[in-house]
Amino acid sequence: MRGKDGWLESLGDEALLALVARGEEEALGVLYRRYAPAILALGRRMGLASSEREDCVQEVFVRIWRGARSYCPKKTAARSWLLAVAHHYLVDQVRSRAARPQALEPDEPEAFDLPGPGLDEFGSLDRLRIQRALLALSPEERQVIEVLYYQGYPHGEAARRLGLPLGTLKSRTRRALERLKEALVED
Amino acid sequence: MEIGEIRELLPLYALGALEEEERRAVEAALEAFPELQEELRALQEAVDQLALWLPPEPLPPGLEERIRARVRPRRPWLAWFGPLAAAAVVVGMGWVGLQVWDWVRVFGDPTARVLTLQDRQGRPIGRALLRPDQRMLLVSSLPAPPEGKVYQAWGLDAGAPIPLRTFRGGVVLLELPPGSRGLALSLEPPGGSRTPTEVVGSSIN
Repeated sequence: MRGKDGWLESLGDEALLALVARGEEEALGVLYRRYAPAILALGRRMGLASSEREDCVQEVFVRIWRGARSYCPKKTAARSWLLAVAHHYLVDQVRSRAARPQALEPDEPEAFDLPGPGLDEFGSLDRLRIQRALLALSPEERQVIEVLYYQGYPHGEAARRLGLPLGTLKSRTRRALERLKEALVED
Repeated sequence: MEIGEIRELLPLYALGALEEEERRAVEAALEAFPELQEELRALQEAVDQLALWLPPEPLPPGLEERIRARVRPRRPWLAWFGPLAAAAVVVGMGWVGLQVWDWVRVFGDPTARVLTLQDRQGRPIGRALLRPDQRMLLVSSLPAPPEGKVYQAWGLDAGAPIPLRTFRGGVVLLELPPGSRGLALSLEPPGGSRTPTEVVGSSIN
């Protein structure tokens, strides 16, 4: 499926999404090869079985195909939009199938373990960099990320599960993301 | 919502941790406070890393093709045409089968008659199977009619020949008028005539 459309591989996500919005199937194929490995990995991290992850990825890319026209590059980076579409769908599946992963203690190696060798364009060095940034977070900050993002709990329920006042959860979440952002910039 | 409240919700929005109603409220508020868009963008980029740092999974064989098959535009008429054509063929074959079976059963009917047709020189030109309900299956060995002519069938009883349908040869389904016991064939101009022009043969029994 590469061949003559190899030049598409050199395009950025924004340009590819614009092509998808115009009905270019090959552009969707490039985005699939670029992001499906990460979406499958996210599905696994969120506790979905292998067949469920495949179904999810299929549905996510169909949604990307149908929703590409609604994407506004002025508001959101294309990568963020794509991953948000994927995460949103995965959370729906996790909630509907009650397949939440067992809560991991943030300090457990599995929670933010060292990634394996890279299979994608993102590259294992980048993942190592991000892992270092994640490990720079406090255990409490990693815990809110775990419950909110990987377990997919809405914030009210997450606060109850963690025994935190909602305000504390909100401030801790902001701090976690800002520290992650700073750690990535500093790196 | 005040801008402060929206700002407070932005990290949760970026993490996809808001309820649907809150999510919509944030999106509506972002239209009113575009200055928050840049802050949200930065938060989203941080959230992206939570997916991207995970060890990627290999692509399952055939998954890309399945996705492509789902998004590929379908031609609605083409999607309908296949099943409709198949249904029409089945119905058509069923109808033909019933017709054939209907006539096959006539051979076992002792009240059915077989008429032999001869030309004016006494040579056989065909046979006709006549059912008790006066429907008739004519099988003739007539040559193709001359240019500008057609064959026409006639019902024979005690009076004048009764005009029936026109045809060009081969197998023909006819319906004899009540009381008619014989059949004649003639050559006529296209559309047929009210009285026979050139008789080419008739039944002899």
